[in-house]
Amino acid sequence: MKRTTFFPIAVIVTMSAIIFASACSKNSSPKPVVKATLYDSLGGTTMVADPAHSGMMIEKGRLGIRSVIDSTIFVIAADNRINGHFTVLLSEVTHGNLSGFTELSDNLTTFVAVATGAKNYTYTGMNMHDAHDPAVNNRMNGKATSADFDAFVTDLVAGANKNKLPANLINSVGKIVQTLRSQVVQ
Amino acid sequence: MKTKTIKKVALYSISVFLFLVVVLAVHIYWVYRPKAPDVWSKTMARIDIKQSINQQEAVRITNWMSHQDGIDHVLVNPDTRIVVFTFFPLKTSGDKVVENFRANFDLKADRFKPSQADLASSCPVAASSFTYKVYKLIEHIL
Repeated sequence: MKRTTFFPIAVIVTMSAIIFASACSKNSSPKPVVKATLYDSLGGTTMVADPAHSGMMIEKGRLGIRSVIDSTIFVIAADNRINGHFTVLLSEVTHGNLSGFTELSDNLTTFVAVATGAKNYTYTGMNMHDAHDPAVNNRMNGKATSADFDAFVTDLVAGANKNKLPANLINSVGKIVQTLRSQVVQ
Repeated sequence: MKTKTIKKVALYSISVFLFLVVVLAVHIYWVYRPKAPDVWSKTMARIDIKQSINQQEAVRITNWMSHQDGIDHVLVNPDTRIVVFTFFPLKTSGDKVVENFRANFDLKADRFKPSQADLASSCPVAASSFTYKVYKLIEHIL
């Protein structure tokens, strides 16, 4: 009698132990493969000191992108092919508005950060199609041409090179930017 | 009696709603209002050189400007003869930098100042959030 009672209990305990052990095992189920984003390759979410704001921290990925964007803005501002689209950079000169350079830098940095896989930022500006459609965005003084877009890409590469961004990352950023061509050149 | 109560409730509701709209408008204006520059504020300015310059002169201009007090960053494009620089407005002013530039270099140069029309039709990547639009509306009304 005792033996017949013991057997099923032993089976249940053994099965429970196996199930429990397998449930707790770290190797029991395959981990989902998380592919590193371009943002991760640029430094990702690791917090580092912000060289432009003493005492503040910034994600390394965003800092890398901001450095490239700021360099690119300088190249664009000195490039007569497309600097007519960006005179707002100099708006503080005549209007006491101190946000021109900073605002464009922030917006472009956030846009590129989100496009490359950043999760902690949200781009709240217009989508690329509307931003470059004169009928929607009255700040566009005409449709952007393919030559304008090529000039922008050239300046972006120049800005990336000034920051010694590796060629493979420049290519990756370039591929993302090229996907926007049809939205910008309408 | 019932109609009077409904009117009273409607009146209170509308009053509260309008009060909240005003509070929201004041809040948005306060957040987006033009702020005085702080130590981190940067301003960009541009100098157009009216004569040709070579790469060596561009490097010399870059080095000189980089060492001026209040200058953040400089880029000289010898092909377009444009000097672009950012500066800290609490330390210097664009006009002062240009004045010193003219005094130090024997070059015909002017500071480029965009017109209202230029500014109104530039920068396609401007912030366009709903709250920013509300701020611009309030600013326009004021």
